Amino acid sequence: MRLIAPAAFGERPRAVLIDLDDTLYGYEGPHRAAMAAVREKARVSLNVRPDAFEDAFRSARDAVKRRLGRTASSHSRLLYFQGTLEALGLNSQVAIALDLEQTYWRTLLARARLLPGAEETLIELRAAGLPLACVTDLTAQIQFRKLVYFEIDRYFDVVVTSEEAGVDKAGGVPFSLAMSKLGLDPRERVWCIGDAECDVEASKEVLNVATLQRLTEDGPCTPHAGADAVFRKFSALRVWLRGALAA
Amino acid sequence: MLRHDPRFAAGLLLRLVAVLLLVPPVQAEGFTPFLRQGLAAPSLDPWTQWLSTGGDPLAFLYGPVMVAYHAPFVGLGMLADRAAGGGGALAQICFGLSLVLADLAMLVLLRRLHDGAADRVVAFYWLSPIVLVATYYFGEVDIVPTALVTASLLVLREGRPRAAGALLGAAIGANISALALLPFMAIFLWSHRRHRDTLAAFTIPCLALALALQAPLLLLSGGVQAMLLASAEVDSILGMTVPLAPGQTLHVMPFAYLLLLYGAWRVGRMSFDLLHAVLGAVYFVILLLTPASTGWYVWVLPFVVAYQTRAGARGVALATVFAIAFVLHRLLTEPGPALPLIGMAGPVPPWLPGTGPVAEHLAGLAYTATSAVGLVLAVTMLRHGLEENDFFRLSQRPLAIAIAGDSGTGKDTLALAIAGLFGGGAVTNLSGDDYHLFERHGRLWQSLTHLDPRANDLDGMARDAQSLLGWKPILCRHYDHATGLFTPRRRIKATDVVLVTGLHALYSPALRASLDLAIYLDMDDELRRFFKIRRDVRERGHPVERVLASLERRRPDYERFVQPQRAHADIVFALLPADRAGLADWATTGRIPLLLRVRLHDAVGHERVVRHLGAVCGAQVDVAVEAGGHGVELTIAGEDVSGEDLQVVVLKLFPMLSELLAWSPAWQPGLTGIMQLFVLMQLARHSPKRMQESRQ
Repeated sequence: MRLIAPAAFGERPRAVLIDLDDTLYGYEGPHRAAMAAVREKARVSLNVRPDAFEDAFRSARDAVKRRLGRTASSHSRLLYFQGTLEALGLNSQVAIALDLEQTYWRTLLARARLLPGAEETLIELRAAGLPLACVTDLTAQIQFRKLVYFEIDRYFDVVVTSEEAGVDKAGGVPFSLAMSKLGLDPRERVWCIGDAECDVEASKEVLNVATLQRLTEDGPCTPHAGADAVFRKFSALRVWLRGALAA
Repeated sequence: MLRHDPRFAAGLLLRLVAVLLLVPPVQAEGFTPFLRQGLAAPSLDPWTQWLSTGGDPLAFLYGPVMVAYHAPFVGLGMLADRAAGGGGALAQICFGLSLVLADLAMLVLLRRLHDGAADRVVAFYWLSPIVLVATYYFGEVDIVPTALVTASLLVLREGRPRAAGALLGAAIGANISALALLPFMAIFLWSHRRHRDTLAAFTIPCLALALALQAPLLLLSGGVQAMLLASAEVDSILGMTVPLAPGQTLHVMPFAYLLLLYGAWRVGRMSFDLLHAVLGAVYFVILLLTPASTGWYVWVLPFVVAYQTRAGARGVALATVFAIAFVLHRLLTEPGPALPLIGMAGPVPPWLPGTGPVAEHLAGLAYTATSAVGLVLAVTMLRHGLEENDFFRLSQRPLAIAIAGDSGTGKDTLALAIAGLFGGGAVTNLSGDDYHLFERHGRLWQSLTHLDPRANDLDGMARDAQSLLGWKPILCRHYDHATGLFTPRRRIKATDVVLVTGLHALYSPALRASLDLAIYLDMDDELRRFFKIRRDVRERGHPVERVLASLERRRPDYERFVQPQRAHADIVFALLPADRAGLADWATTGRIPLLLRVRLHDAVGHERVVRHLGAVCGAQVDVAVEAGGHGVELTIAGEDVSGEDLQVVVLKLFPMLSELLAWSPAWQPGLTGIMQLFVLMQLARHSPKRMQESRQ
């Protein structure tokens, strides 16, 4: 835990906004396992070589992202797999695309673990009387599934997905929507905990926020521009929180 | 991630500095020269070659795997030495680096083996004084075979017995002492029905590789034989004796080893965690009952780490005290490494100077303390392992599940689905049909229906079930549905799960009292009538009137004898139509969409399952709590639920069940799969009661 701008935390926040993917659980390992399971399924059921599948997947994903821009659908695995099958010359193959998507999310959920201390941190924040909002990109369906699967939905007062907001967090809209749902004015002081650039940069553009960036295992070791504090372990964050919120 | 962990960085730095600075005599005078000579003049038998040139017989008491592992490092070092203009310092450093690599592999393996406690493994293993002092200060190389043993355990847990056997074989090829583990691992595989089929797949590659690596040398190499004799390993194993009478001497270490072996056999069903504790105890026996070398302490480390990950603060403290006692004793009594880079060409002397009585007493006291703490640690590890072993207490009594319900409600389908979860060989099915009193053409069927208890030997069924639950085999005849006759009696052995199915499976109070789970299968009346008519009329050509009359004839007995069993069930499953309009036409060939109604006797404890059924499996669940909280009724739309999703839910919510289930449980899709999930939910909730009963 390193405070970059200690003054940013001088004021008690009215609420805390928290990202989900790669903040409360590690995404990269489960994602790799999930993609491996999908490639294996494609190999067994469609006789497609894993490297050919991977190439088709990459180009399909890039095409979907280009086409849909910063929207929740641009992260849709179902669209990626549909595009992959089409790129492989297999047409849309709706049933197979659905099956690959199910395989992906099932494997990802089975491998994903909340980071040590993440749930305890949420409990600690709630115990401090702070309203919590989960602000996350991607579609509501899968993000809600994750929240229930991890059994952390109970800690959040509101959940905002980019599907609901219409655009990804990079545009700042989901943060504003979260504030509105919490019944707070955007000028009121809040904290935002997340790993991505948008969590520390976009949130600052639209809110009066102090940002705490989680440095991920596979991500950059340097803070994003606008991060007021960085941490790797929730245990360290909790220790700091206790002091900061008690003060 | 390790690379961001300051503890890891500190441990790695410590190791690299040690490799650069410390030159343990055992390496400088034994391992490195042995390997350098073997590389300078390659031979299939470097041991004999070493002795023929006057080398120390105690220089390298390890097998060919160790030569193969360390030689490339030393070879690179020799090339670097040559490039640097002579000397042997770089070969020595490269030898040290080979140990760092094995040490690193060990850390990675242990973190994967204890993935729920990977973070703590860094503290318990990477910063353990035992591995640091034994490997880098005293220069012992046992980290290599220990890493192979750890890899074998990891791979075995992942369900790859052949690879696990080969890795243990390689460990034996590195150091023959690893052979001590093989009988215990074989007992573990045999004792656990889940692993029993893999026993041969594990032991054959293990023995084949171990023999291929060690036997030719032991039998044909004069050098290896001479080194073994010089090492006095056999003497140390047989060293501690109790002379009982002339010619009757008790060798304490082999005696304790055999007792442990017998104890492991008697445990019956060993969990993976208990296997760790037992293997740790084996090495503690060797440590405590022989004058063990420093390297032996590295062998116990993976098992002590396993214990620390599961034990509380006291367990961690005990292991820490043991490590400190070991380090103190060794530093007090053993000479350490040389530090040529800082001008200390000779070894660091032991902390206790001289050999006077005071020094001897102090050394003895330190050893006594190490042994005492080691003994306490070994016993605690075993006790802890035994307490946590056999979560469902199957060694004492099989799981007893009964499924009652009328004909055509799906008892056999559910029984097969349950058997698929536990694995075919793990389930003994006791069918109520085998206890009908009469054959199909028996005259008494004209006055009695099968539903009437008087037409069934229910007492016999209960007695047989009780025998199986006491792990006693039974002799039972079988009702052959094809012929309508009974087969001769045959012997049926009890297995982990005894499944009693039949019209009256919950009828006997004595049997009910022994059950872990009582299930009643029901079906919506209209739906049952629809299925019966559709099958008998359309497929068998019976007139509708006759089918309806047959249903009516059975009804009074059903209401009198079968339906009341519903009240005794922990779970009632009932299928009902999603759309009653679909039942109007029995001639329809289309699929009838179904719902599953689950009534749970206990109104608390289903919430997490219900939430995960919705969130993970995509099923829709309506919950209705009965007045007074006496039960809860769930109505579930989930015909498209996949078996894989159900498995994800079970692994998440009931991880303790994995010890109980087959390696690859056969999850059914749809409503049958959801029934499987609720059966397991009830068993998981019931397990504390079983544990309590077994303690009384």
